[in-house]
Amino acid sequence: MEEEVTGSGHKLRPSSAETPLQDRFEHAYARAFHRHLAQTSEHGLHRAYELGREAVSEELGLLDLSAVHHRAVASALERLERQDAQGVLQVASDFFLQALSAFEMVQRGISEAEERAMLEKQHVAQLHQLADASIAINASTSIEGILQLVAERARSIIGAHCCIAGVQLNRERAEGVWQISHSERGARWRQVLGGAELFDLLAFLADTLRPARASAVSLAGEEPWTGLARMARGSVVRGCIVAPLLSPRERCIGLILLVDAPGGEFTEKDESILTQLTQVVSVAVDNARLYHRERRVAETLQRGLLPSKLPDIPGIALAARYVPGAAGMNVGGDWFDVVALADGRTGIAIGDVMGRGVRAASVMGQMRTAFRAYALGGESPDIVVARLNRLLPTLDPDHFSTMVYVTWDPTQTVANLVRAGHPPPLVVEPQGRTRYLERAGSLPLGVLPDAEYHLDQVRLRLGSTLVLYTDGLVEQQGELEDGLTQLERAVSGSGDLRAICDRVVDKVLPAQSVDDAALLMVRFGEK
Amino acid sequence: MSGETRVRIGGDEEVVVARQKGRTLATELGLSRTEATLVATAISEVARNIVQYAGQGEIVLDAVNSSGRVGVRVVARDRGPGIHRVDWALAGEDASGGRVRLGLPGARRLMDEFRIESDVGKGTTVTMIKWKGGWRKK
Repeated sequence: MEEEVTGSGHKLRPSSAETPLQDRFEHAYARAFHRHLAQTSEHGLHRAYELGREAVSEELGLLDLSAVHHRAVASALERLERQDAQGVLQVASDFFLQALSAFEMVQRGISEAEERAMLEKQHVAQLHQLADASIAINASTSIEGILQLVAERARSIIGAHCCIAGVQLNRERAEGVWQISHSERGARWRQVLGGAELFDLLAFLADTLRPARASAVSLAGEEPWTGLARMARGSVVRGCIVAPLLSPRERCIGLILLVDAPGGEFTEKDESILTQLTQVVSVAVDNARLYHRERRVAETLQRGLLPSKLPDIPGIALAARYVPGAAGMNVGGDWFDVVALADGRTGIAIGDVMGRGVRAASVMGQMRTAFRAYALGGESPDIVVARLNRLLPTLDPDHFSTMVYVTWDPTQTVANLVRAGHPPPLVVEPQGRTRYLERAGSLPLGVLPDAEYHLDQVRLRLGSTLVLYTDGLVEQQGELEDGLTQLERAVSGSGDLRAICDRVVDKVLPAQSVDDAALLMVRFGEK
Repeated sequence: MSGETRVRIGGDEEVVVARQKGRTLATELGLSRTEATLVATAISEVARNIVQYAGQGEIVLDAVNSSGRVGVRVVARDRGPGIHRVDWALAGEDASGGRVRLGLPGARRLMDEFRIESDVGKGTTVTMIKWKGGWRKK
């Protein structure tokens, strides 16, 4: 019964109400209305208000109330025909209005709740977009890429005709990185790029270190907005909002600026979304800066440490290549060197210090210097490598290193070699046959302080070519075998050493290799 | 603040008086019939609250004039137990999460301005204004 009543907002009945509740309500309403009609007073209106309230709490529908009212008025007009109908309708309207005011309260509450729910939903959607943007931003390693993403995402998440995102460490224009995203209407703000206005904003943010927001009205007269307002040349700009990008030491290193809100003004909620976005971006930009700085240092260091020119040794032809990793912090510890020993032998080495970045490159440099010193002493490879093995932990206990050291004696066309955890050297016979020198593998350097390094002896006739390389050249996602086969194929063709080197890099080196790679080719008995 | 009207509230009878005075003042100031009805309804709601929770109190009515606008101000005062959580009382939700659609939140929605001060144990003062022509204006 109760249910039927509560759900009956749309069920209008032609005759008097059927349910006891509605029945009771209808009687009460008609009685109150007739009394009020007989003598209008605030009492009567108060009663109408209470009936309206009752209708709301009993969950009667607005249409039910209208029907009840209509029937009460109709019966009044019938019964009181002598009275002026106009007067009845006037009183009836006041009475009904009063009863309706309770519904008005409810209605306004519903609109308010709906509005709140809509805003809430909007905010949740923004937070989702913010999370997506954070992931995309963190996946980007270039500052340009990060800022372009930020400009686009900030504009779509918050809503603006233009968004400018930039990093500027000093006032040198060339040192800044700025990106912009704009709608058709926002295109005019392109002129801000390269203008003094951004520097003024930066100077302002450097002091306050806090976001700033302006309405369309306050834009013209308040710092730091006067520059932008001038630029708008009197056309309407619906607000601006700017937030600083901060370094870990809380220095302002850039900004995100949103101009001209399509929906009116920027709100406090927009400011909070932007603040969250700047936090993500600040960290990402800082990482990218570090990353590029370290990569640049490591690359410079490594190139500086590798022999800029291979020695000129009679009876030996040499060619070498070093290829840094394609992306990221993949400057590694690859190195090679060739030394002419006092007794006419030649010392040839290649190595790979495990690890990446500045530290690996610096260990590599010291290893190479030490190698030179020990090799020039004239000791045989097993002794030289054993010494390097003892040295390595003193340079850096965390790094392992692999290497191959070969000495070649031209008088006997014999090579002595040690292979410490390194991929096997490849020999190309004068007739073009190839073979890997896979015997005599020993432990990498840095594993055991007293490790013994096995000395192998191979015959290398005049006209043979020795190919030394690091794993970055041949390792494709861990598939060493394929790379080794490809290398054999690439070196077996004809041509001078440099041409062969180019061919190897071209054919063997995996495209977009993340690892760095070194290649050293030595042909004996040839100049 | 001349011409203020004070109505002691102790029961239904006085609620009707307060409504009447509020409606009359609203009409005198030129508020529409609908606006006057909403003022009367809001007075009923706050007066009801006084009777229900504090037993007695007062309602003070006066005209206000601000930046060219005219309005009716209703101040409802009691020395009752006070409201523990004003934000809940106004959010239109009771502690059990149920909907409170009338009462103080209802009055707030009908008026243009609404302020409430409440000290637990000392009482509650509700101040609300309905502006002439301020229908639906927020």
